[in-house]
Amino acid sequence: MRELKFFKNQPSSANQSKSEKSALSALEPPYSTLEEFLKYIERRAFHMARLSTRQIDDAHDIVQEAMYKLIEKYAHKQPLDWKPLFFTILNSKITDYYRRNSIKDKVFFKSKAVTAEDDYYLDWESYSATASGTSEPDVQFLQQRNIHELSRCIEQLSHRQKQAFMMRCWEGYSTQETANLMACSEGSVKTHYSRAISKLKNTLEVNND
Amino acid sequence: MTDSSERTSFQKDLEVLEKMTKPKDLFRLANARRMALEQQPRRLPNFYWIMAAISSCFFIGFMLFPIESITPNRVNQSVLNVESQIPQNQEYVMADNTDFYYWLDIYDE
Repeated sequence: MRELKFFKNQPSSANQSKSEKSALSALEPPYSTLEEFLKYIERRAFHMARLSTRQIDDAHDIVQEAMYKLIEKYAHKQPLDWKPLFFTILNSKITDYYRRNSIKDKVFFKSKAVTAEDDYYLDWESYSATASGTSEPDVQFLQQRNIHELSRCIEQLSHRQKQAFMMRCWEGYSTQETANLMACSEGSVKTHYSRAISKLKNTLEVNND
Repeated sequence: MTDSSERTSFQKDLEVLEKMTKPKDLFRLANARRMALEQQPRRLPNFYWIMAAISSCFFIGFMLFPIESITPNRVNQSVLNVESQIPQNQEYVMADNTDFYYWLDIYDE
């Protein structure tokens, strides 16, 4: 796997000013052990895999494989490196999934059926368990509808557009970091991301009308 | 809407989606995490099971029914071809070694 270039230019602790220290504390991850890291990342990883595959079971398999691989190969790395490494593994697992599926489609002439649960993940039961008690039902309903529409739109993006959107928007990575994760140039990331955003905007506007 | 505000609104929605993970999936994720931390052998994905089943079926099929018995027409044809060649060869041999078959003439008489 490529050597990752994240967080390499950090100043030494002896010559740190107050502003540098505060900047570094902002960089410090909210986890120190692998278990804490996996707890922190697992939900997001699951939803990324689910939106990419549209299959809940396959998403679980992908996340489990990524977790396993991270611990097997990179447990000795610094906590700051775990996140980019995990997302690199997750992305490659999702790419492998697409490749396997294309072979399966050629052999069996039919891809796996999408169930109702895969198609409409959010239901009232799960939503009411997480929605705040102060929110009005109308607001809650609108929020749920927005999330559902957004999920549907993300599913329609191409694989690379999804990757760029999720890394930039969801994870908040910079263009350079996303390019390192996706193993492509910054220009490609910008193109994929802007196309993803414009597609999402157009689809959401059409759906809202 | 500017790029950053769009990004923020998408990010908020995605964070809510993250919080809305179903308990069933949370249990499965916790189990996956535990297995990964203990480095227990993983369950193979369905794809590998399907490929293994298909290849073993082919293997058993080849062992039980060799290729010759699967294509009887071709075999029969080849047998017929061999049979049609045998008399010609025998006649040819007999024509060469007529001295050896002198005793046949005794019975003919």
